[in-house]
This record gives sequence, structure tokens and C-alpha cells, in this order.
Amino acid sequence: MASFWIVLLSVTAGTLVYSVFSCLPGLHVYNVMGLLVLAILGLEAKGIAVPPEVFIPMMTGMIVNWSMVNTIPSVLLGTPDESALFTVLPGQKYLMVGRGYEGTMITAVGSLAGAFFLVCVVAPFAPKYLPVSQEALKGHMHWVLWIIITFILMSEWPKGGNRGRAGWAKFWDAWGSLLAGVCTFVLAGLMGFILLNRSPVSHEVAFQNIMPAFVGLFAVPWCLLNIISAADVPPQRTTDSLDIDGDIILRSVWSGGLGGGFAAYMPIVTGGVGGLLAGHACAQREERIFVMGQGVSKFVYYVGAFMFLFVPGLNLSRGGGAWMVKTLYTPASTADYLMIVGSIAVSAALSFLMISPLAKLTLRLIDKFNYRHVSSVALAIIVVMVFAMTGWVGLFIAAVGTGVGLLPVLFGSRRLNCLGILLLPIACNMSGFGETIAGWLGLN
Amino acid sequence: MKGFSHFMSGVAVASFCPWSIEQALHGNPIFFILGGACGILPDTLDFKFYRFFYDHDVYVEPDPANLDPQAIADEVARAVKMGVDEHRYIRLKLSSIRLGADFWQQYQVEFDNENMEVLVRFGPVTNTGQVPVPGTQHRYPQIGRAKLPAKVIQTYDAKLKVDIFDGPTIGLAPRNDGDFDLEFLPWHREWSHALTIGFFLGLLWLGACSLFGHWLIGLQGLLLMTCCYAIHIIEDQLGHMGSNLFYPFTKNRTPGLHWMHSGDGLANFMAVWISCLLIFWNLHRALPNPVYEFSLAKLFLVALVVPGLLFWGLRWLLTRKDGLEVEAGDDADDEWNDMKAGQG
Amino acid sequence: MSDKQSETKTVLPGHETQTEEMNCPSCGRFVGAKNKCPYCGARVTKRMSLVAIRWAAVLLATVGMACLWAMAKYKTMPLVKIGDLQATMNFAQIRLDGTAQTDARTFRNGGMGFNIADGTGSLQVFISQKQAAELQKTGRVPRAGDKVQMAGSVSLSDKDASIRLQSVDSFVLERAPARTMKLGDVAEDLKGDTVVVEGLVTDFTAPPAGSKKPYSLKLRDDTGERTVTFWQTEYDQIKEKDTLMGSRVRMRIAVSTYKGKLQLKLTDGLSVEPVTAEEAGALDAAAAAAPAAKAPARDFSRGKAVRESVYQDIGGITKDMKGKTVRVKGRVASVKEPEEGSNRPTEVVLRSEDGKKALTVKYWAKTAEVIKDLPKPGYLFDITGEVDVFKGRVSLKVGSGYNIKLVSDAPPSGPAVDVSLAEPVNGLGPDRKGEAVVLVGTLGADHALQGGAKYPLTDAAGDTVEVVFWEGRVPADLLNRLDEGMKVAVRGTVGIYNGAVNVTADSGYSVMPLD
Repeated sequence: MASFWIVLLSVTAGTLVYSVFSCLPGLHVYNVMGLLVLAILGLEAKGIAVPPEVFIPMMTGMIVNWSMVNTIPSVLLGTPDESALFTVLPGQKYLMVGRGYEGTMITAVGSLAGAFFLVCVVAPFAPKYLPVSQEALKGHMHWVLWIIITFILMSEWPKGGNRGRAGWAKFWDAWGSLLAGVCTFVLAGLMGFILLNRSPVSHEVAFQNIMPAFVGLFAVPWCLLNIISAADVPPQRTTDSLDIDGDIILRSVWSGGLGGGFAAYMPIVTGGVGGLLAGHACAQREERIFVMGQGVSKFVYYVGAFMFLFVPGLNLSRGGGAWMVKTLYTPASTADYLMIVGSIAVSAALSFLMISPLAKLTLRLIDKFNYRHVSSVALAIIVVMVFAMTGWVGLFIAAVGTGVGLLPVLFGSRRLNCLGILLLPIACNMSGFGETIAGWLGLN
Repeated sequence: MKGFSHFMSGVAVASFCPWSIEQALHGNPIFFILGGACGILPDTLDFKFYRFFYDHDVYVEPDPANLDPQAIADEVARAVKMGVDEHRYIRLKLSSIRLGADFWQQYQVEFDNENMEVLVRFGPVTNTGQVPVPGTQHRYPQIGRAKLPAKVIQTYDAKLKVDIFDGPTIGLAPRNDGDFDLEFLPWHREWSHALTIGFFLGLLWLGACSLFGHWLIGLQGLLLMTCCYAIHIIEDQLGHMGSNLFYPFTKNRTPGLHWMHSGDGLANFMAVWISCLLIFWNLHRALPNPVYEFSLAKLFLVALVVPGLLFWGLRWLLTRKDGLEVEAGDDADDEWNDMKAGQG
Repeated sequence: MSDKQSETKTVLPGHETQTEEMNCPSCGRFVGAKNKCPYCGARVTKRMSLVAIRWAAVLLATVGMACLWAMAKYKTMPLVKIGDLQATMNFAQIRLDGTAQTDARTFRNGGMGFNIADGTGSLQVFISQKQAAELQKTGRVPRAGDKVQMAGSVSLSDKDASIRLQSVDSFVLERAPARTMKLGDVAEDLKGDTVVVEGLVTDFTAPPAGSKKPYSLKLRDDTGERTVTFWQTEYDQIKEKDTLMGSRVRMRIAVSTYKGKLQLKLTDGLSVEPVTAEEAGALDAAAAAAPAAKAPARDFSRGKAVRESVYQDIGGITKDMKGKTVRVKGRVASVKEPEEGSNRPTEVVLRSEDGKKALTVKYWAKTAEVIKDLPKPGYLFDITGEVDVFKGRVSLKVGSGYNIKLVSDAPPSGPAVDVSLAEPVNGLGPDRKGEAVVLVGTLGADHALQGGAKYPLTDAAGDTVEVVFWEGRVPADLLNRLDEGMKVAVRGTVGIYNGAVNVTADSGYSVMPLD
């Protein structure tokens, strides 16, 4: 019984304390978890053991809280994480017509629906059915990544070429953005090869090898664009009700659950990719479903990936959170799994209840402080964090990543192509010719 | 059907080829990549290449600074007259009107064959999500009208609505009675959606492989590419528009079976999901000593029938009071709109 | 700008925040990011900050990337001691310089693995299928004792630590000299070692087509004849395989056991070399290399206060504990290997120290790949696993080979058989079938059985009963010591066979020489 109270207190503490960090733009939960892991290891080195019943529920609370409450800066402060960045546009549209609170709450309802989906549907069936799919898919993950890459590159449509007479000029006008997209993918992939084969980051903090690159590819460009853009946020209003119904929620869970679940299960595939594929598969045009589905997808992706580590008999490590926990603890039994599922449920409930007051507080802040200043503060936090973890080398990597991450924004292509940083080298490695390519690049 | 449905269908067809799985287990993903790529290739050829080289006889390019529905109507009428005078196929391009970063002026073109005239109405300003901007519905209340020298016969009810990104192309095909058949997006499926083209691309693959001495892979690729390309065409043939199936031996599109609209959400999702299940089934079948044994029927029951029934049951419960109305769309409309949605 | 355009500008919500550079300064129409108006052809000047960011992005993405690539290419990968690895070094690309602790073993997926130690700790090395093929082709498959230099990417978790080979180009191998031995001297005490043997090939049998059975080769020297076993991979590596039969060869073998019997496995086909007549006489002069010192096992607790692990009493494990993880210690009573090609698990029966309670432990092939010391009857093992209940029977499922640890391979210190419980043979009858008994007597001549042997046991009263000893249940070293005329005490179970009463010796150290 004592374990029950320890777990409950830990998950509550993790949820409540982390809610402050979740509201900070640009700060990813995996970055903070990395610091927490360092702290735990530091304590262990001094002989102070932190029991798993404390840090596991706490980390669960952090991930759940972040995946829900981070909607606030994503929508209201324009700094979404990768899983939302290319689809935050509808949420931002709510903001630009003064309905930012509504957009945030619709996304939050999606997150809560995602929690129900994960706890009540996925969790009971995962131990039974995931091992079946693991058995069939073993040895085939590499080509799944390749077809995802193929679809990402082939499904991007040209944006230009809308006016003028037929001919090469029209063709190049259209293909400019597409070529920028392909270049982004290739450059990001090259960066991935460098970081995964001969990372300039010190080996002593290698567990954060990729972090500076991700920050540069996704977080910094967003902050920069917010700073230099001239858009002013109109006055926002809050509302006591939302224009949604059960059917909207059901369809959002369907599309978001599929996308987030696919991304959680497949290695390397992130929430953004899962959302793209599910969006195409489910083909829902309704904007509310789009917005709510993002909430579902983000929750199922981050929390589901973490949860899979604890599924008995599966030992599936997906997502940065799971990899970090694995350095501290290896899940041993069904009891661990039930602890996680229970922690998710408790944390989701608490986090949802906190979103409305936190969103209103953020709106008051937006009224007082310039949108650009908030992004400047976020950028400063990010830079300090990268420097603290990985030093000058990490900052340089982030700078190069920023260059690559700005290309799609400035030349009109998809930001999703930046995921080439992981997709390309890992797909090559899984197929067995990653070493050959690394050799061509002189990285062996 | 939507691009992703075609893509997954192509991958599913590839999974039926034993050499795909065999090569995949040896770390070679090429056949699955080819399958997916060929599944989506026909639309890629049209929307990402051919349409930029498709010349038009008349370009309707309204001036965003001087919006006038009458000018548009006059140009459309001129195109029809050109067709009457020259008695040939006329290609008419209706360009969109961009007002700002996220604002487009919508307009509609309608052929009134009873009164032998074309009408052009300006609608609201929309954003890139095709959502009307409030308060812009009646900025231009006047209707542009122009007399037509011949009727323009449409085989479907859809109005020609021009809003975001690229505007549509209309083909005016002269009939024996002097009137014209209206063809929407005449460049689409003109040649790209032919079974012969799939075979031809397969031959190119065989040729490329033979240069390196890989005849077996070449032949395997030829068969795979032909089948995966064909599945796209077969799926499109279930719709309304149809395709020119045996280009260059045939000239016109063979009309579709009218069994579904390409934008049908359920049909598209079912195509994707069933493709995924078939891929999974083929991978499972290829396991030498599977720990878990199950039949195809059980797989479909657990992964499709039961969750499907639950979902639709819930949906019915949640919507039975609302009386959902599903807008009937035309085949071409849906694909064109999907392409534009993909640009957003 | 026309009235209509300004009207547009003032009417559309949010449009008033659109910057001037989005519109053509000449005709006022929207141009977006273009530098030239598509309507009137006028030049559209953009804000300096936007121009600067565009150039910065392109330069960073290209020139910056080139600098990053150069930094990486010319960076020296750090040489790290295994003992210095910390959790924060997860995914680090490092170099190692150490010694192979084990021969490389091939996994079912074609990959390979071996353990490397550098004096400060040991680490498991994983090699991909393609890399393994390349190493095999170039004769660089590591064997125990070989010096290895390699580079790879480290994976560190709570319980496991491993390194994945990055490139075969960075894999440098220096072969350790192996002891050369006579075939007759190869015994079970060399289990785990690799030695060189030499002899005449007297028989060579290939398995039937499609079978998963191994090849076998009979080698004979002046001390005896042994069978060497190998599989297709090794067979393919053998040069001049057509002239093997009847030729004198030297080869490197690994000593192991299979189903309780000594097994000699060919380590790799490349080591099979013909021996000339001059070389044949040099066998005795070959110096035996001292086995590589085993590096101390790395402590992965990393200073954290490990919770005191409580051993669960084997008899106390019940169905209610299903799903719970427990740790047990006990002696291996029997080991049942699955059929070749089957997916069934290996089943080990573990007995409590007092021998009264038993528990079945199950693990699958994938788990077995990383077990350092495989369970053998009679050995004391420490095993952690999850309690499982299948068809009403309780067992322990082990998911990780690291959770199966040898505690001691020495026989129990106390008497294996309690002589005070001995009873006369004439008291055994069909009505006592299934009962446990202890007998004391003298063994007669043995009679070999498939998988064991039976001895007649005559007690002090002169009454005789057949006692059956099965391999896989009674430790091989004990079985080998039994001989005609030896006085022993036996603990077993009464049975009936062909109408006659017999006794089957219990698993483990159930027979105790009394001489």
C-alpha cells in the first residue's frame, strides 16, 4: 500500500511541477528529462538511490503533462514542437481571429480523448497484440522507413506555377519549392549521417547527440520567424463552451490515434510523420477535427511511446523518454505496466484540469508582453540549454541545423523534410548500406 | 482515390510478390519502394509534370486590382466562339485570383444551356483552407453574363468553382450537333493512367537493370511495376472520370464504373487499412516458424470487422439526431481539391 | 493603388497587418515572396532582415554543413576504457582496445556477437549480418583470446551494455596463439576454451539436404578419435573440402557440451589447414598459451544502492504470484533442450538446496544467446524471472540471459544422499511404485541405455535391484565415475519396467560413492 501512495504522490508532483515548464515555449520535455537523468545519476554516484517508484511515475507525469499543456505555447505563442509544427496552422488561425483560447481547449479535449484511448483501448490490448505484430514486422522495419521517405518526398505538391503560359518557366516556378524540399531532406540526412557516425559532440554527453540538431532544425526557426514577422496577435477572448460534439471527438480520436499510434510504435517515425500519414489515410477535412486530432496524435505519440517500454514481454524502446529511462531502469513485470497506465490516467486528468487556468494566464501575459519578446525569451532559453548540455560544438550544430530548418520556411517547402536527419541515415543503416555511405563520406 | 490510398495499394500489391519480401529480409527495400512509387506515379506524372506543359488556347487571368465578372464571362464566351469558328477542341484555363498571403477571391462559372449563356459570380474571399472570410460574401454582387454561340454540355452537376492555388482547365470538345462537351481537367488521365504506360515504365526498369547484368531483378521489377501501376488505374476506374486505358492505342477516357467518388472518406480509408492488413498478412505468411498462428479471416475480424463495427456503431449513436448530410461531389472535383489541399 | 485594392486592404480581417513588401510598389497587387511582380514586372524590394535571413540560411545550410562535415571527418574517435563508461555516454561513438573474451557466435539473423574486455570491464559487441559476412570473408572473426581494436556506437541501459561495430574497416584483429593439444586430452574441464588439434580425417558426414543438423568430421590421432561438429557457415569457409577425407589436418576447435556430452565445435572453416609430414612431428613442441586472464566483471550498479534482493523460496512460489518477478537460487536438476528447429523453450528444473522443492525455469533461444554459463545439472544458479502459470503449472519465465547467473559449479558441500534413510532392497515392491527411496549397495556391471546407463545394485543382504541413471539428470562427471564394484548410496524413485521393480536415480547429485 505504501507503494501506491508513493507512486500517486510522485506522479502528482511530476505533473504539477512540470506544468510550469510545459508552458515555456521551445522547451522539449526530453531536454528536461535529460537533465533529470543526469541529476539521478549524480545522486546515485553519491550513494543516494532514487527508487524507481519515485522517478518512473514522476517522468510519466512530466511526459503526460507536457504533451497536453504544451498545447498552450504551441497555439498561443506560436512555438510548436515537431509533432505539430506543420499542422499548427489551423490552431494559429484560431489565434489570429481572437479565438486562441478556443483553439487551445479544442486541442486539449483531443489530448484528453487520446488519454482515454491509450488507457482504455491500447493499454489492455497492447500486451496481446503488439508481440504478434513485432514477430511479423521484425526484419521489415527498414523498408517501412523507406516507403515513408518515398511518400514524404512524392506527396509534396508544387506550390507555384499557377499563372502564365505553359512551359519550362511555369514548371520551374512550381518546382522551386519542391527542389527546396528535396535539398532540405538531403542536407538534413547528411547532418544525420555526421551525427550518428562521427558526432563532434563530446562522447561524455553523447546521450544528447541529436538534441542540438533538432533544436536547430525545428525550435530556432520558429522562434526566429516569430521575432521577425510583423504579425500582431489580435485581442483574445475566452469562452465557456466549445463548438464540438461527440462525433468530432470520435473522428479526431480515429485519425489522431492512428497517426500518433503509428509514430509511437514505429522506430524513428515521429508524431509529425504519423500525423501526415494518418491525415492522408483518414482524409478528414473538418478543421475542428484537424485541430483536435493534433491533440490526440501528440498525446498518443509521446505517451504511447513511453508506455510501450513497459508492455510485458515486448521491451520496446521508442522515443527519447523511453531510451532515457532505460539507462536507469529496466521494466520487469506486469506490475510496472499497470503502474504506468495508472500514472498516465491520473496525470492526464490533472493536466487537463490545469489547461484552462494556465491558458487564461498565458492570454493575460500575451496581452501584456509582445509576442516577439516571448519568442526572444524562448530562443534565449533554448540557446542556454544547448550550450549547457553540449557546449560550443552543440551551438554550432544548432546553428547549422537552423540554416537547414529555415530553408523550407523561406522557400515554401514542407518542414517535415527536416526529419531526414533521422529517417535517411537510420533507414540506410537498417538496410545495411549505411556503413557504405558513411564510408563514402569519410566518416568511418 | 487519394494519393495515400494509391500509394498503400501499390505497396500491398508489391507484398504479394515473394521476391519483395525475400529481398527485404536481405536488406533490400527496392521492390517495396517501387511498389509505392508506382502506386502513386500516375497522378504524380499529371499533377507534378504534365500540367505545366499543357498549353491552353484561352487564359482567363482576372486582374486582382480590377475585379470584373463580366470580363471573365466574355473570355469564356470567346473560347466557345473560337471552338465554333474553328470547329476544334478548345483548352480554356481559369486562373485563380490571389488577394493576399492567405486570401483568395472565389468565383464560379456556370453554363446555362437553356438561355445559351455563361454566368460568372464572385463569391466570398476565402483563406487557403477554403474557409470564407466573414463579411466578404457580397463584395461583388453583380453577375457577369455572356451569350454563347453553342451549348456546353456538362455530364455532372458540379459548378466550376475557382478559389485557391491553381485554377482548373476546361476542355471544350466539339460534338457532331455543334454543341460542346465540357471536360474537366482534360490533361488529367489523358495518357498517364494507361496500363500500357505502366508496362512501358517496367520495360525501362528492365533495360536499366540489364545494363548491370541484373536480369532477374529487372524481370521481377517489370512485373511488379506493371501490377502496382495498374492497381492505381483499377482504383480510379471505380470512380466517375475514368481513364484512357490503353494509350496510345486508345484516344479517349473509358468512363468509370461510378461505384464511388474519389474523395469518399470511407472508401479511401478502407483501401489504406485493407492494404495494411494484406501487407501484414503477407509478411506473416512468409515467416518460417511463426509463434503466433492465425488465419486471414481472423486477422480481418480482429483488425477490421470488430473495430469497424464498434466505430460505426458509436458514430451512429452520436449522430443519429443530427441527420448528417454528405455533400455529393464529383470525381474530378475531389481529386482537384485534394491536390490543392496538399499544397496547403 | 486602386480604390478597389485599398478597399480590399481595409475590408479583409488581418489584411491590414500584411507588410508592404508583400505587394508590388508599382501596381499594388499581391506578390508574396517574389522579388519581381508577375503582373507589371516591377522589382519588389524586401526587408533587409528577410534578405539577410535568407542568405544566412543558405550559407549555414551549405557552408556550415561543409564545416560540420570536416569537423566530423577529422575528429579522432576517443579511446575509452569500458570501466569509464557512464550512462550519459549512451550512443557515444568510441574506440575500444581489448581482448575477446569469447569466440564470436553467429545469431539466427546472420549477425554476430562476442564479449570484449579491456581489463576494466567487459562489453558485448554486436556485428551486423553484412559486417559478419565481411569479417568471415577476410578471416577476422574473433576468437577467445584474440586482441581486438574496434570502433562502434555504445548502447547503455540499466542492465545491458553493448557496443555495435561501426565499420569493418576499423576492426583490427591480432590472433592469440592457441594451445595445441592431443585429442585425448580434450576434456570437459576445457569447456569454453579454444584449442588447436591435429589428426587424420577418418570420416566426414554431411547432413541431409534441407536438414538443420550439423556436419560431423571424425578426427584421429595417437591418443584417440573425436568427432568435430560444424555447420554450413564453417563448411563454406573450408578450403579444399573435397580432399578432406583421409587427409591430415589441423583445426581450431571450441570445447563445449551438448546434452551433457562433450562437444568439439569447429570455430571457423578457415582454420582447417593441411598438415605436412614435418609439421606432424611438431605437435609436442607446441607451447600451450595461458588462457587469457578474465577481466573482472563490470559492476553496472554505478554506485547506486541496489535494493537488497530477496531470494524467493522455490517452494513458496504459487499461482497467485503470476506476473511477479522473483529471484531464486537453486541447483539445476535437469536441462531439457528443445528439438532443433523448434520454437519451444529450454526447460531447466531447479531444485531447492534441500532438494525437496522444484521449479521449472523456461527461456527461449534468444535469451540463451547471452547466457554466460549455460545451466548444467548439479550447478547452483541464481535466476530472476517472471512467475508464469500455464495449464495450472507454475514456472519461471526468464526474458534476459543476464538474469541467469552461475553461482557455483561445485557439488553441494553436504552429503548428497542421506545414508541414514537407507532401506533394504527386499522391501521394494510394485506397491511402492512412485515412492522415493534411499539404497546402499555395490554396483554391478553397467548396461548402456540410450541416454543413460543401468547398474544392478546389491545391498548387504545380497538382494539386487536395477538402478537407472539418466544423462541430463545426473551430472556427467558423477556418471563417469561410477564403476563396477563401487559401493554407493543412491536416492531414487521406485518404478516398474517389464514387470520388474527398478529404481530411477533422482536428478542432481543423487548417487554418492561411499568408498
